[in-house]
Amino acid sequence: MSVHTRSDMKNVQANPTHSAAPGATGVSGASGLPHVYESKMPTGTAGRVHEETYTCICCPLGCELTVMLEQQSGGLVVRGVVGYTCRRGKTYAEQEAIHPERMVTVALPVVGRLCPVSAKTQRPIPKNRMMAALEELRAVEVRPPVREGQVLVCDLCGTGVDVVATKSIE
Amino acid sequence: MGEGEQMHFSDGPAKAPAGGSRQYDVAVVGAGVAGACVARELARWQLSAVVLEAGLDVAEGASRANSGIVHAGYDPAPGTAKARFNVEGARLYPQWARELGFPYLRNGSMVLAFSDDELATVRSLAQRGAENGVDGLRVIGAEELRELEPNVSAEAVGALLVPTGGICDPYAVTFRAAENAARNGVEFRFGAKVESVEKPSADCDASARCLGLEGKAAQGVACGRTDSAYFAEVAQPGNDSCGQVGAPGSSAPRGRAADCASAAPDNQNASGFFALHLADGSCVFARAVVNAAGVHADELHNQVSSVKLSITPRRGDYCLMETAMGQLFGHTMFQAPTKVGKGVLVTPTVHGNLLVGPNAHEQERKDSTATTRVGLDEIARAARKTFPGLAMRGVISNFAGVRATGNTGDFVIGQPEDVPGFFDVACFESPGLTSAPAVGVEIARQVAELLGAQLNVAFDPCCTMPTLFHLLDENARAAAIRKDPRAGHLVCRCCEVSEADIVAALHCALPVACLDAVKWRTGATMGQCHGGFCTPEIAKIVAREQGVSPDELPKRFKGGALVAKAPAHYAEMARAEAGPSSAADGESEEGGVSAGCTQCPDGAAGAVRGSGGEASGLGRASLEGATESTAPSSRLDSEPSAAACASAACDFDVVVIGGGAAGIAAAAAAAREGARVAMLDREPQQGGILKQCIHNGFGLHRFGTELTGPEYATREQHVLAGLGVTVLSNASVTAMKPMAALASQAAAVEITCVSPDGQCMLRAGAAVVATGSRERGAGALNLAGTRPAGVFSAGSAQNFMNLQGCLPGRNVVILGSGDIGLIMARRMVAAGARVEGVYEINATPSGLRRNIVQCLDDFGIPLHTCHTVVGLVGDARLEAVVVSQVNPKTYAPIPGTERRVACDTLLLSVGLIPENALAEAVGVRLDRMTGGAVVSDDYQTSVPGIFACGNALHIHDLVDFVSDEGDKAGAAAARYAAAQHAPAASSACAAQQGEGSSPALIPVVAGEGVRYVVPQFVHPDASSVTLRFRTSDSFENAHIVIEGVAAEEGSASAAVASGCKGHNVGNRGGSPVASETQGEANLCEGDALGADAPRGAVFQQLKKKRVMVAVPAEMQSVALPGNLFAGMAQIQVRMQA
Repeated sequence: MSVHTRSDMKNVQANPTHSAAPGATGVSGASGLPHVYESKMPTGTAGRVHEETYTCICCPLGCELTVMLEQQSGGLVVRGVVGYTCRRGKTYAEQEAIHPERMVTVALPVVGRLCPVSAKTQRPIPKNRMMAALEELRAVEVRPPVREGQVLVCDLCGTGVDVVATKSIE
Repeated sequence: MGEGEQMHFSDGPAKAPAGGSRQYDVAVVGAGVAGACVARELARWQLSAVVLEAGLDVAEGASRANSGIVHAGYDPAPGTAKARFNVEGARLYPQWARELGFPYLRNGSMVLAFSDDELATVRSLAQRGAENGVDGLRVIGAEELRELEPNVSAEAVGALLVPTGGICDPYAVTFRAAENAARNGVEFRFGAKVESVEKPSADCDASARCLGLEGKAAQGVACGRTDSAYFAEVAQPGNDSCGQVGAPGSSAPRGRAADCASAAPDNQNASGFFALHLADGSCVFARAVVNAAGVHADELHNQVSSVKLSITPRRGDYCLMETAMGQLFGHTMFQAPTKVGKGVLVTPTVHGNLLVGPNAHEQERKDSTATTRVGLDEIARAARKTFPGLAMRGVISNFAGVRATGNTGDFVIGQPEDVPGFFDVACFESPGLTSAPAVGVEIARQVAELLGAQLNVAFDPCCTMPTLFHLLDENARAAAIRKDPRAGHLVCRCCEVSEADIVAALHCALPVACLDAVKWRTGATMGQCHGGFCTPEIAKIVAREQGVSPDELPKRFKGGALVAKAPAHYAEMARAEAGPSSAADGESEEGGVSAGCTQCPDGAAGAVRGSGGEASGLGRASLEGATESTAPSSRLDSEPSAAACASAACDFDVVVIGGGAAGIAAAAAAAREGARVAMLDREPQQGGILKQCIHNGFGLHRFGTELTGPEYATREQHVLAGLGVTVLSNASVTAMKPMAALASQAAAVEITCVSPDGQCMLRAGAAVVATGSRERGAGALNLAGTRPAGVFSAGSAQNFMNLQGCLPGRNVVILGSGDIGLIMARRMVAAGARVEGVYEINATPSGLRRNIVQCLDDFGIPLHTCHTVVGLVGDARLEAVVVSQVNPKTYAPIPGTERRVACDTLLLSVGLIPENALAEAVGVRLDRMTGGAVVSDDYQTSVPGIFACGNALHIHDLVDFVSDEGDKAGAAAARYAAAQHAPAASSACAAQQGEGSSPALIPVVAGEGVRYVVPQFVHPDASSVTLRFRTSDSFENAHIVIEGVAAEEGSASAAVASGCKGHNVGNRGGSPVASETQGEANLCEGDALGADAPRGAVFQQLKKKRVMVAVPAEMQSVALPGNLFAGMAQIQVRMQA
């Protein structure tokens, strides 16, 4: 399973794509491209409730969240969340179980300026689009001046989310 | 000629004119200390000379990595060349140091004896020294030894005292001699590796053909020993002799040399020119050759002489310790030579460090200066024989040098019988550094005699260079900044190296062809941050001055560029960023004003930027008065700054040092309290490290929304902008004096700062130290191996990426799972690099859980706990790291678990260290656990009027808490300053200043499971207190328990009272803070921290909070309401599982 609980966090090598046992040479199985996790659900288990565990990333507390999920004909349905200590945590768990999302932050080159402009997605984008989005952003160059909050890239990678500047450049 | 291969970035006189002459009277091979000294002395004669150096700077070999000792001359056997040149050289050193301006100190040496046998050895050394003509040698007994050197081992029974022994900076000796030579007309070529040397041949025509000079040359000039033709400077522009020499189809240089030799075996000097074939295919002709090629001198020699030499490279490892340890020994401490070996030395350096080493290991590779774990352990062990108290955590760097040990047992100096005109300075091992000046004089004399040269009357023996900023006194600094504003911009904060220092180094006669040349010439990057802060800035300056971007600039060796990729037009953009002249123009910032400051020694203010608004409340009247009289600005109300600088004795109520998150918050909070506030920041833009933290996750607590670092900084600055705080940007604090040292009692501190606008002195009623932290650097890890490009602190790499658009490397290993390392792992992947893995020495990650998830797990980056990097591989650029499993308890690498991980970049995220050099200098007491000041709940340090907050106080994981601390420290500082004006004020902080009547502070101690707590003291009448602490382990479903120990009389009898919980703090010893001593508990008292609770104390639970601690790195905090502490003798924070 791709999601690490706190207890297996210490041993990420257990991840099948990074199976380097202690003492092994190199990181075997590591392909050139970092892989992106996808929550995989067992098929043909409609109606069955199972649990997924996540580490909340909303704040530094890093609460351990357990989500009860039920496979229904329309897809996964959240049946309950435990372990959260704030509303954001509950929302995160529900989101992470069904449709994980991440903010993307980058520094984009500015024409004629040594210092790049920092930028972020206006809201989180689907996690599985993250690498493609970063790829797309690597080709972007910005013309000065830039104001904080200005949209620098529209509809990043077809996600419908814009990329905005997080600082101003004269 | 492969001009592109040559690393000439400066257009100083040393640069070879394109297509220019390739013929010289003398060619010196090697720009080590021997070559440089010979070159300097050759410049005294009317000779055209060139120095050919394979590396990119002077002193690339043994001259850079040695003990730096100027030996007195007691060691070499009488009658040897070593003895002669050693003694002569030692005599020349003081004069050379004066003329050339390199650091040299006659600190005296000792040779320690640890037995009666060794005493006898030492006596024979004294005898030998006398024979060699060394003055003042004396054998001293144990008593005198310990009197002179109290830290020496108790096992030492006596020593030879050598008063004429000295120490020097071997790089500086080499550099200054070479620079002096270059200024006197000697040409230096770096990256010019001599592959082979060909003796002068009878076939004059062939030689001339080689030169492309047929029919043009023979302008005969008679010379001393032969009648050979003298090729004067006749080559025509564009006459590319090298191209011809290296033309396709020509045989290899070595082969051709053989051909020439066989063609004219009996008349070798007929044409009068040696041909030196360079690795780039070009060729240099010279009538005389000086072979100062260090470990390669035998190869060169054997090509021309039938008397063969053999040099065996012998490596010596060293550990350089921090400057705090330089005071431990005054003399250079040798050990008496034994059958086993010569022992290792322990010596202070001219820069104030302590140096230990070397061992001696023969090795195959002549150019490998990789240290080994075994070697480093060996020298540490051997050094403890002299200095049993040696602690290796003081290491700031390790390095190795390779001695050129010959089969002759002695130096080989001068012309071999069968090769007149070829001058050896070979087998030049110790005491080569000491001997080099004398050898330089001798060789130059011989060369001049051979070639019949006249004295060069224009020779200037002095090599004056602008004094480095850190060596100037305050008046000289002010003058230097007036002359060149760049002298007021401190680039390297640790070593106080100014931009002017760096620019001067870049425009030396000797070109700068690598970053390390800047480092060695100026001292920049040699401080405690290991270049973490200043390397990106230096890269910009080099680009601006020389047009070389950091992806072209080698760190040290060709092929080892600083970063993998830099933006196109980096240099142009760096120039544009710096502006048309320098950043020193007065009106550089919005609202900027430069005003004469009557308080300042040089009459200038710092780069002053008023942040708008009006100063209010406290001190307003005097401020306005001053404003009218002095400030030239038309925006007087919004520009209180410069004016304030010229006002009364107490310029400001509060001065905040540092313009990062903590500093901004402190300045704003102090201003809100009505104080006149100045905030000093070394950077042009405030916000500190937030500026480069482009990721999100900031501000949830402070602003209730998730922000990126730049957004958080902007918000904080907006808050500050309306409060009338005087912001001095580009200003570095160079000195801080506490009230005790001042005659005026009105101010608590006096702060001296420099900026491009001048040197400025500020007096304030209170100061807030918000100087942040620095990263633990590579040197401190004492990694064995080479020192290639590609090793960055994570923050340094972050700066290169996010503020300069560079890609540090493409295949990355990250050591340490601190938050910055995790964030950088994701950032590197985002920029297209591949992250091989993160290695963490602890069993648990050092960073926050959410960063493990979103920075590593999201990208499939493996985290290897209980692993560390033990070695670096790669000469120019990092090629691999050696990782090893460690014992989770001792952190010792487990033998046999080492493996090589290929990578071109290593990022270090191995901890942050609070930056407290300034605070320490004024006597602020630091907490050993946090590395920050010991403070009370108002964030006041042990020095009255000096407050601390943010990462300078203890390392935070969240900027929100940094700002919160800044708020509190700033407000408390303002109240303190106000209380100075009104002594009757009854605020808690004022009370502490009252004489004799200060209420005792209550110590807050770390109990079971807690590593440290901040603040370390609380006032009994504190209204509310937030305790921040870190645990020593992970906890699941645990409780934080805050307990008070009641301060009852005779508490020993009042053992566990009902309703209170007895708890044994632990098994630490130490003096208990009993009720009768608690009146003395204060911020300065050493024993209070971490002290046990009084025996039989009564514990009273003040608060219990359920908590889960996933990683010990997470900072915990507990807010306590006020009025809990009255009557308490001690507060304790512990974890209850």
